[in-house]
Amino acid sequence: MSDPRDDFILDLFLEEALSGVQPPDVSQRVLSALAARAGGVPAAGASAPPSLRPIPIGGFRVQGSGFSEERRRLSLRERAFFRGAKGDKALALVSLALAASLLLALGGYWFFAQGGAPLVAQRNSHAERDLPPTAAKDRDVANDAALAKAEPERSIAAPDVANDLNPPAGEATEPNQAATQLVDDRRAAESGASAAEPLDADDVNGPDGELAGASPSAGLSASASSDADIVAYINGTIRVRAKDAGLRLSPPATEAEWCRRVHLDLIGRIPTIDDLEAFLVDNSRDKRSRLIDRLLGFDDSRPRKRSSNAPDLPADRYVESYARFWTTLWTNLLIGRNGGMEPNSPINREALQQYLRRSFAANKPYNQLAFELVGAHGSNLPGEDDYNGAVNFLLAHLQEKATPATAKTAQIFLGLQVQCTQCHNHPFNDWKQNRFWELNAFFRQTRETREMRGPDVRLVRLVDEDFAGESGDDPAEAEVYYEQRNGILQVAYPTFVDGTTIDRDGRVAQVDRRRELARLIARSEQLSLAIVNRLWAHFLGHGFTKPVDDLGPHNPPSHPELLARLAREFAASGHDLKRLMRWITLSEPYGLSSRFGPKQGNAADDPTVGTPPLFTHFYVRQMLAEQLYDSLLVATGAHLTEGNYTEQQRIKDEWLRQFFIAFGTDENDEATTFDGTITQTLVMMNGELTRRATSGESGSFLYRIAQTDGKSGSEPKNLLNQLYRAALARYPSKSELQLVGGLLGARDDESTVLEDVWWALLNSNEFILNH
Amino acid sequence: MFRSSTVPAGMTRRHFMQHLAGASALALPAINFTNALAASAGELRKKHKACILLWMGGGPSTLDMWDLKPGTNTGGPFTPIATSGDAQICEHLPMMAKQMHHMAIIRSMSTREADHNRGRYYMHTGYVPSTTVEHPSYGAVIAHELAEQVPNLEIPPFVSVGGGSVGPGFLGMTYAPFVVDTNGEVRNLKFDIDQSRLEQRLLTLKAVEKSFADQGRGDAPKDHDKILDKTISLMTSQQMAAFKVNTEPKEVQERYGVIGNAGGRMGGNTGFARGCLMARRLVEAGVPFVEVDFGGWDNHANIFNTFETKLPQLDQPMSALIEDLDQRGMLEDTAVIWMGEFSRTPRINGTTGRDHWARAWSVVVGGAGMKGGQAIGATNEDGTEVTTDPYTSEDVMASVLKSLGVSLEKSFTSKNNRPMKIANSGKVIKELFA
Repeated sequence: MSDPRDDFILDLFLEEALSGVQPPDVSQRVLSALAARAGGVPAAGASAPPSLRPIPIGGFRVQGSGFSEERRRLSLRERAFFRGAKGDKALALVSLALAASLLLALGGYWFFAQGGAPLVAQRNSHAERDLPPTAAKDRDVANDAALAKAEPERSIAAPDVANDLNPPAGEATEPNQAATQLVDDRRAAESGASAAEPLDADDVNGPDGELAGASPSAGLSASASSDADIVAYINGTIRVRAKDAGLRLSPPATEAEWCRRVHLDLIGRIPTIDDLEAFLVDNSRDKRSRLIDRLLGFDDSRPRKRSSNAPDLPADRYVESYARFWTTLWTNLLIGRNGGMEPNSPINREALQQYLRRSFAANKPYNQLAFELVGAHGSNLPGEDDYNGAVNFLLAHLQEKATPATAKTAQIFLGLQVQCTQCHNHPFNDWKQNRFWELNAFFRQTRETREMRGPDVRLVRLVDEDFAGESGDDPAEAEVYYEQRNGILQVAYPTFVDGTTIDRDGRVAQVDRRRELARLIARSEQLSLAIVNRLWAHFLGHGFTKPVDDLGPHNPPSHPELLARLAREFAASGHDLKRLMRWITLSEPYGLSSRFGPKQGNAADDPTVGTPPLFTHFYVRQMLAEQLYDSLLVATGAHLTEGNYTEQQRIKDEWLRQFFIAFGTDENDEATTFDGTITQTLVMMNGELTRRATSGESGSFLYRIAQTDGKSGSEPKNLLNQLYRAALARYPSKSELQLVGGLLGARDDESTVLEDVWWALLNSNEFILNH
Repeated sequence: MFRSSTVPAGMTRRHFMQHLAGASALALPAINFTNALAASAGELRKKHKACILLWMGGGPSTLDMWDLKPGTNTGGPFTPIATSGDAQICEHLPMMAKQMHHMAIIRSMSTREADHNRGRYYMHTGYVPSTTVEHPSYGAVIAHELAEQVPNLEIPPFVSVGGGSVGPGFLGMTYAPFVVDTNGEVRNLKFDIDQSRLEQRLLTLKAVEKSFADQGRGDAPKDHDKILDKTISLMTSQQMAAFKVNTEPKEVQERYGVIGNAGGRMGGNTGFARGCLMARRLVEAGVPFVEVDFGGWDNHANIFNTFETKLPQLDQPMSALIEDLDQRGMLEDTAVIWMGEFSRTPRINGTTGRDHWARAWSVVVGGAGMKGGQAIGATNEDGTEVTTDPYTSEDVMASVLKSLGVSLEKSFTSKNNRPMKIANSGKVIKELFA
């Protein structure tokens, strides 16, 4: 994919000159590149990986293992530069930026002419993209070796799986050995995972207390660009496209609005009053970056400030909230909301959730996650020797010759909608029917075997067995048949979506087809494109395409260059999901106000009317049912009157279930009555959860603020402030104060007025929308 | 909705809502919710057009129900029987056979969408899924067109029983399906505080709601505000009694198969029976569109054994509904559609099942003046192709709309200002109106 904008000189102008972010200290970068060329980066610390590191820019943090360390490393000189620049004249800034960019560009050319790849590789990823795979791999291997020295525990954590994903060039896989290897890999990876629920600190943190979340990004491969570069690129691209369309960007959201949405989108709930206060009183310029890292679980070691009216959340530590939230999203994606919910289901939903929770808590590289889910073997019952929670994804989709598994795998991991091509050539893109069945052929060794206990399913195993082809004639040529619409029977052999073929042998000892598929997926560019688009849609409200999982020439993305660049950077980061989330949440479009219209100069940017999104404002959207539930808990402390975790989960599941209806098809499709319907409104108005939340009973939020603030003789206004901040992350307006003041004046019982106000706030559009 | 100029007289509650909309006055009007209602309930018109869609989720094999091919490779084991109309149908639909003079089988349906989601969307809207426009479904279109004929209706005009249907698209959440269980329980309908406090709550709520909706953040905040009003209206409505099928006489419940199990024919599966009875009650109460879902037709395996138990569960309630509508004089104003997203392959697969097939299949319609007792169009000997003019989702939709008196010249404007012809310019199936 070649884009005329993919030129690194042009990029510089786009990013720095047009994007409006503060200019970087280019001299530092040039110096560092020089030093790198001269034979090594100045040692910053004993544990620093010997990969190229960009110099910190602005308030953003840079890549690397020791995030907080990096922050401190921001030199005084740079701080002074930015402080000075902040209030300064725009003209001076722009000219400085242009001059700096030019300098860098020239410098880049000079180095390039000298054959000095480092600077270019560091500056942007183009050079790296153009490297032959083996060269890139060599570098990775070298880095890995060096890393292994610096961080010995890493080589235990993900050694051979990583090898699987990026096998050394020319590796002649010996199938037998490889198969054994995989089993060992999985055992190693899962040996901790089969331990008992729930997640405890030792699972999340490494043995030496180092934060596990930071390590995957610590240099599986050296990312070409710093976080700041990438964020600047996002901002620049969005601005340029908006300008081309004649639109302006909405002003930034308020601090509190941003704080609320970043909590919702990263950990699935609104901020507590304490979360909000802590953020608002923080005056440091990197406060957003730090909050993001805290929510991502990088900063959990620090004890959180806690006051008496902050509810004890079931998952108190952010890293757990994060892991739980993303587990919920992915469970729904992988097996649907109803998957494994029926009694005696062969799908063990809890086991899949446990697997996902551990994966997200450890920030497992995304390609490894995909590899493990698609290539999973083993049983779905915790405690068994071959227990592997990941098998439950495919166990949910194996029926009908694994055609649902084929479609789901393509859709979820590759962003390709191939289900129609099961029966006929795709009407709108160049997918032909053979490609569906060629992909399907990868799944045809796969079987489930059940162990019964009396009439009940005790456990289900996902296994691979020799497949002799549908004719059964020749296992060395194990074929799949499909019928064209004209009734002619056709034959298909395993071929990946990019045309890669594998040996046709159907004997597992010769070729483990599903494992081959998992490897192809894990190394596919399409994997990165699909997840970038999915996460972008999660945070910004609309993806670059609609639907998010339908990529292809028939459905061009709104910002192709941005999607492509983010996908490249994501892959280069070691498929680090948390870094991708940082880029997006730190970006300008994510921080814009959701107000838009003629006054803001962007009335035309409204994807709900069918125009492609331009991201000139934050798109208001319904909270997910799960976000709303957890937010209600946070805002009300309703769960404090509940039982243990299992009991709470049961109540939550029950609450959620009332919104979702299965269509009763083999694909487990579902409809929702959640999104802004009467059903949802009734639940919010009269449901049990709201009733308890607004009853002021002991342990509830209302009870607590009445106890603390009420007893200390505060005015009703203070109590109201608390309610508004807890529910809406803002203070009441003057007219709202007047209205409630009138109610208070007209009624004797202050506490019932508070209950009524609280009820009103929780039922408002402002509460249930993510804005 | 309460801002519209068609606020009927005597609806004090709506008057109250206007106060809330203003959210200025602190003086709370002393009103009595239920009295206002009792007054308006009697005003409901008896005669109005309506449509009931019996939605067969999963894609039922119409070759084994409405268009049998006995003695062919693809025909399956079932025998056709004579009906009260001209067409023959499956032996496992004997009660429907007695009602077929009211119904027409369109045997020459030919569509392109054989994926569940796409097929469901296409058959519900007349449009194939698009990345830029969300089209309104049958229920939303008909609710939109017919809502005015029962101005005092407080039940949402589009009710979906036992399934999710397809949404309102660009017509907006006001025309979204109101989804209820087949048991007729609408959850969380009751509020447990006294009325004066509810009024104060609503007053405070509307203040927050309106100020947020007025901040220029797009449609979502405004839509929520509208739904809020409808919900409040519903919470205090006596019309909700229409959902209570248990209040029907015992014989009626038995005829539908809600109770009594009809000598084992229902196999304990009474959901669809309840849905059909509820549909009649809702139409009687003035609801212009009711969808009743009956899923489980995705029979890739073991189809014939499944049909022997499943067809009776369809036969009894569906025939009861048509008979009941007819006896009450409602059938001449009520269109009934029976369809799924597609049908199934004539070829019987290796697991004695049939796979997805959209190329040649049947839909059954009747009522509201559509001519029953006939089979329209035909398929070839083994059921793989249609041999007469093929009909599409658009054509069925156009015909049903015509039967309801909705103008086919009507054009909507989608949110991106594109004109959208109602029923996607489908052609009326002329045999239905001969």
